Amino acid sequence: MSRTLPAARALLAALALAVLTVAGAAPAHADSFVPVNGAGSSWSSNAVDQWRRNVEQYGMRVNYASTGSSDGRNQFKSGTVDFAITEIPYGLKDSGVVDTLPTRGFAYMPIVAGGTAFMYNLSVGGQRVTDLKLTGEVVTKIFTGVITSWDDPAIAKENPGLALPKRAIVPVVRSDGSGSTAQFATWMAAKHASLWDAYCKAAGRSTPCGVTSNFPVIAGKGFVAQPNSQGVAGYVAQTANIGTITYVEYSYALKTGYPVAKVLNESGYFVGPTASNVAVGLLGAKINTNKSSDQYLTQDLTGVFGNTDKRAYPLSSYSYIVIPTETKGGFTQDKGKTLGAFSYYFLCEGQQQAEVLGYSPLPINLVEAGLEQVRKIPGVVAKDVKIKDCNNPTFSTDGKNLLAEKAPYPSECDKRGATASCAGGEGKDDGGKDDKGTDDGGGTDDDGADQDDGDSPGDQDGGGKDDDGKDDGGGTDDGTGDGDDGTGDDGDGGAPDSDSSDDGSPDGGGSTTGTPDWSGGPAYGGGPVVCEDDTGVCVNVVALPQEAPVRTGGEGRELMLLAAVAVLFAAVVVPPLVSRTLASRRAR
Amino acid sequence: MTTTEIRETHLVPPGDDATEARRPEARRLVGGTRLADLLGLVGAAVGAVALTALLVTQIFPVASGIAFTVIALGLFVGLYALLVSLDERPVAVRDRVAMVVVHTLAFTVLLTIVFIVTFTFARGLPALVHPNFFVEDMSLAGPLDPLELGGVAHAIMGTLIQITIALAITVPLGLTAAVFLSEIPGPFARFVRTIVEAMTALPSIVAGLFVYATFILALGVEKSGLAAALAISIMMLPIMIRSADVVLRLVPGTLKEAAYALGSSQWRTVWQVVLPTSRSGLTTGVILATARGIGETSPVLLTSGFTASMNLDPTTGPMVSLPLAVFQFVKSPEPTMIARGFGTAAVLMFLVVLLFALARFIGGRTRKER
Repeated sequence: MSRTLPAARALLAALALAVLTVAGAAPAHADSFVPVNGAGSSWSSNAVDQWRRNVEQYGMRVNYASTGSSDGRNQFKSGTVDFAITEIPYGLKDSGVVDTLPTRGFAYMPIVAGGTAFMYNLSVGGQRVTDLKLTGEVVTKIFTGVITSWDDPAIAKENPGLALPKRAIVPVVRSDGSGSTAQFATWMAAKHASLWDAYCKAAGRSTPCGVTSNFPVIAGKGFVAQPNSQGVAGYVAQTANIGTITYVEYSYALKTGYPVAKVLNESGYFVGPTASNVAVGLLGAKINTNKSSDQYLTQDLTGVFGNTDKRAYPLSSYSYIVIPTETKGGFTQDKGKTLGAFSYYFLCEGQQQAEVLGYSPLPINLVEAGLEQVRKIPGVVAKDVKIKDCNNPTFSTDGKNLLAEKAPYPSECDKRGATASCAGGEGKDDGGKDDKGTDDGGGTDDDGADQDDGDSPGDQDGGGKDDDGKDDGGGTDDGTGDGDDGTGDDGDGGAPDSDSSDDGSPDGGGSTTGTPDWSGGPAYGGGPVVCEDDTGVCVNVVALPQEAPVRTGGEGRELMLLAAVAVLFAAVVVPPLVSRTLASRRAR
Repeated sequence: MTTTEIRETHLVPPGDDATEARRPEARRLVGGTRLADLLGLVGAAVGAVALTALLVTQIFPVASGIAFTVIALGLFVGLYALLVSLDERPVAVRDRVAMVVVHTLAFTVLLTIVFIVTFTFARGLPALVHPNFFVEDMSLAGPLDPLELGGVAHAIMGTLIQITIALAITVPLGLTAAVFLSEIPGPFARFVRTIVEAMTALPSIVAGLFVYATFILALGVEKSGLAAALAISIMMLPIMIRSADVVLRLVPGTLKEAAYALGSSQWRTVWQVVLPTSRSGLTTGVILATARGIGETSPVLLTSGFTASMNLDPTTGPMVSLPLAVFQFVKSPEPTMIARGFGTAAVLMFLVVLLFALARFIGGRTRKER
């Protein structure tokens, strides 16, 4: 023992020396900023991680642990972190427990915006479906167990071009407390309260259910609960798990390469959770400016859920950073300086990268509100940030709201019940408030132009995201489909009348245009429509995702094969057994 | 090998003595494998795979590989039993079938381990091929940066520092406790032993919560490497005490009696006789405890905080360890971050193997010298 001791002692000493030398060298680098520590939302962590890295070059060290919103709030309350990031403000009642306010002064500030996306894994006849459209009600019904099969008429109605399979829907929800659940629940509680409350009640929760970060699960409903965003996204992304759908932040769906559903917004368009759509949606966010309220500066998203802009994605929301407003519990003026500088960075410049990270930049209204809050951080070197210096991608240097001007509009064929009208090139009414997607026969003509554009085959093949979806469907019949396209256009002229009349009753429109297309009738005009997000160009596609012929009538064949196997097996097994029995008998 | 021997012995049932005696004595092969055994195995395997392929592709189309494997295995055992039964007695058949089943189970376990290790290395390979992965920290690498930037040096150092502190706490404490348990038996020792045994089953998150509640919340110490090391120590201590206790009790009483007979005191005996005798076993105990401590995520999650930059000072600021880094990396949606996570897991496994080899080397060497 004594012989090895010196060696161990030398090792320890060397380690201690290394610790001392490096520890001594480290602070030289961060002379102007002291490190700050934060914890909370894993929903926002991807963005925060990138910003953390970016401000490192200014000598700021921001440590962020993505341990979940609830943990972040608790840690901020107990003073173990300097800031927290959360989707839910303090003071809400979640699963019967009221989250008390921290004793130290604090303020909320918007930090990351994003859309809750519905990522799904669905194939029809071996082709992955990539252009599913869902209304809010359908989404709620799926996640409350009311709609249980993909061929439910409510889904089929909005997706006339898809031959949806008779397959059970497997909703994948978060098993842990999460901000995504909270944001989804906020929306359900605001828009579809009765369905949501009924579900909560069945799950044994008290009603009204309201916002919760723990998704209630009823055993036996066929729901699958997975931990973490990575968990739910990974579960859906398994090739074998066809029929699954989950709610997850858009970035996860984006990186996994699986499609997300387009959700119907207030003005009757199906839109995806793209960065610009979410940012436009959030222009409708209101902030509680009542200083005496507990919920001062928390979000009021009813304006977002009901945003009437055609581009607005309804399930848009943002997360808060909880900042201390007094030096207490380990928070110092020096830390305030770092936190303040970091805040200025992420409110303005940092938002440039939001889109690549799968989030959405904060729009002007939220940035202005945030800049106001930064001043409250003790020790902050307050900057009089003019909007024009902010360098946020959603508004220009002269303070104009770039987003509202530049964000691409959804193509007309993403309008509800638009299958026919897009093809027909008539019966559009842009300004109309017809949420039901009913089209007057006498629409404007400019849409006709749209349609003409769409006919050029080049547009159809553009590599747009949604294009892929339709190409998918066309994959099997590409050869003929392309050829027919040219003639189909002619048919379009004749077809629209019937189609738009069908459209008048949305129910009928969906089903009648959906099925006959496939029979290959002459009316190509009724085919599904390929729209490109960027250009808004729509094209008729003849080839449809085809349901693979189910192996019916295979029963007799299977029985025969089974018999064949039995015969084969017997041929192998029986002779040796027989010979053995005979041999043993002979031996006796 | 052993199974062959067993079979050979069974081949001579007492009733066959008369027939045996008439034939000329043939030399019995006790060891080795016969060609027939091998052919039987191969034949059964080929037959099972072919039959399963036929079943799966033609009759019950199941896509999953698991179903295929299960069906093939079942068929293999059945076919093998049949083949063996052609020229062996029932006892030998049962023996062979048992052998095949046991070997299959062993093989499954081996395959699982190989799969885990290979999978981790394969997924982490994109990160592991860059040398910067081992020497840089993540402070200048964000989710959007390529794998050429950033690494896990901070986590490697964090793990080493935390485990060093934890060992510095647990080795003296654990060994002393074990010596106490074996040298001073009594009601209190029994009580301590019960507590230690109960602590072995302590969920690791509880250890983290304990340190979080006492050290961080009550005493107001910030989240740091030291707090994490304390939490790890709580996890390591019971394992070390238990294994050391078992080893110390194995020291032959005659050795101790001889020491007492020579007039040495009890502590002298412990120091000079008991501890050196059980050195190898004690090393194993330390290794086991280290293995437990080094892979702990949940106590560290609550106590160490998270940082992306190198922090070598265990008393101030968050310090990240390898398991925690893995946990945070794989939660990211970015493929590069996930690759880093698997790379970090590979580094962790490699580090554990390295530490084991080192400890075995130290523990084994001195015994030889003696």
